[in-house]
Amino acid sequence: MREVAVKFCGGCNPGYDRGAAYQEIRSAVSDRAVVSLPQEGKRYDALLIIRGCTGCPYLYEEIDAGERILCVRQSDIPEVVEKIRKL
Amino acid sequence: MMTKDQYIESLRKLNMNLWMFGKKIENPVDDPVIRPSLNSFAATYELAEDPQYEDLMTATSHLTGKKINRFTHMHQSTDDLIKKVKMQRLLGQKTAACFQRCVGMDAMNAVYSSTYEIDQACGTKYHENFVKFLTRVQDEDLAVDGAMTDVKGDRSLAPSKQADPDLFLHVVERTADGVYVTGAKAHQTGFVNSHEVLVMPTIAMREGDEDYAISFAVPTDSEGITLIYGRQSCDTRKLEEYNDIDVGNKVYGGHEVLVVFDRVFVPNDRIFLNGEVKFAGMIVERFAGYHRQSYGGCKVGVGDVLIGATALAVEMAGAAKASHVKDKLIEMVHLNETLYCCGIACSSQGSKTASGNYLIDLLLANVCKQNVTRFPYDIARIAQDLAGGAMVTLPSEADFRTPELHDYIEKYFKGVASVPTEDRMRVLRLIENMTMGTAAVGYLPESMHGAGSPQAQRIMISRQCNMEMKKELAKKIARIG
Repeated sequence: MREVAVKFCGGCNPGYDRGAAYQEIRSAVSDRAVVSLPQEGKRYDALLIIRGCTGCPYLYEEIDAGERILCVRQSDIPEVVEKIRKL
Repeated sequence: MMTKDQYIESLRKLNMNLWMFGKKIENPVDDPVIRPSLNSFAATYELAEDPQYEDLMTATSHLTGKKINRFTHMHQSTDDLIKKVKMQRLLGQKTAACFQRCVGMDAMNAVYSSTYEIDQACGTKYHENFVKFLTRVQDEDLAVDGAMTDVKGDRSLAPSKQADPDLFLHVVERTADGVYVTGAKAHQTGFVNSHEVLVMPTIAMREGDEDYAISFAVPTDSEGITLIYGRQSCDTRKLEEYNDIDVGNKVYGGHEVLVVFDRVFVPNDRIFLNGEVKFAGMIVERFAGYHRQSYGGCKVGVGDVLIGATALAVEMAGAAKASHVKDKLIEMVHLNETLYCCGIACSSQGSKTASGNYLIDLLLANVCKQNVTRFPYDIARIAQDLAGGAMVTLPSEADFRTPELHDYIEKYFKGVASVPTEDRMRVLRLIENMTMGTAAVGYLPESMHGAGSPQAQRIMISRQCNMEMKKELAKKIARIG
């Protein structure tokens, strides 16, 4: 099982339900990856960043992860799921 | 950080001398008139616990390295200033009301940088005092009320020239251990939901006003403090038997109080300015600047809710496809996002102070607030236009629950057939609440006068606008001189 950390933007003006997107992604990859909130000092295979809009620049460099996968809009979800499944 | 529940329990331990409707309020936490304002304040704690919002709601203390609530943070970058505005928009969206905690955050950032510069100039120890206070606020996640506005009496006279010396808060006695202060602070947002009050002078001062140039922090339930709760339009609807639909916003609200200080003791280590008249203006200017930035976030979030409610109201009436309706909704969004642009702009152009925290661009912050004195009124006007007359002629919830009347109301206040009349009533009451009910206090007159009335911004815009440079530009293009 791959380990994926998730970070949310602050959610000031989201274009979609970020919490629901997280649940959908988590459920879709549950046979391949564990998606959870990041723990300090732990290394992850990937960091999933769920942004509510395109205006958020943060990549959370303090989190140690092999790659960063961005979800910026609802329509990104299938591609995000695919990327996690290919880790 | 405190959880929402811990915060609410902490307020029960305070023993404030609070009065409302001629009676002393022994338990403000559970009072039905006050509780909605507490719920709004508590949202600043609740959202900080949620991973979906923590990136905006929390920060890392530059003093201790600990994770803290952003409302207790000293902005360390322009990025922090931008996140502050985004956090405020988020909270406005979640509460559709004034969540009250901004004023303390803005006061603390203003006093932090000002005390550093006062100490540099005067050899005082105010910054050390303030850092000690701030560290406790951050560690214990305390709620702080920022108190600036004096009642001011005769506006044409300086504090020390008033017929009644108490019309500006001032020092009435000095002892070896501290000072005693008397006076009052008006329009104090969120005071009843705060643990501490951070007092600042209200205007720039001159020689002779030394006793009035005072800044300090004390607990909100200090001996000698009396609170008189401000009335709001439609406030007693919360006390009615049927108090769900008609209140418009059942859960959230805001409040203001008149805070009377009658010989309140302030120990020396809680004093941040004491007689240095030439620095009173610095604190005022910085606090006002931060707070004028704040309005580019909080009112935008509240505006998001009002725009959404209006869009629902026209859908429920079957009018959503009319071109003028669509155009008016677009106008509301345009006005709202213009305010947001101003909040983001003054934040992104911020700069580092000598103390290390960041200050917004003062010109752009004043332009932001000047727009806030106008645009929420325009947004509210369009909301009332599109909501239609039913917003103010709807029968009461009590009538709606009366068997002899229910079917008539259900039948004759229905819009499109698929929408229950009760849903339409709820949306219309929400618009009423935000544009002329309890929440209008926060969305409209507070937008006009909070953080300074319109003319205060125009004075600052005049000072900051660099008119001489503009004239030189014109001369060069026109080939003059």
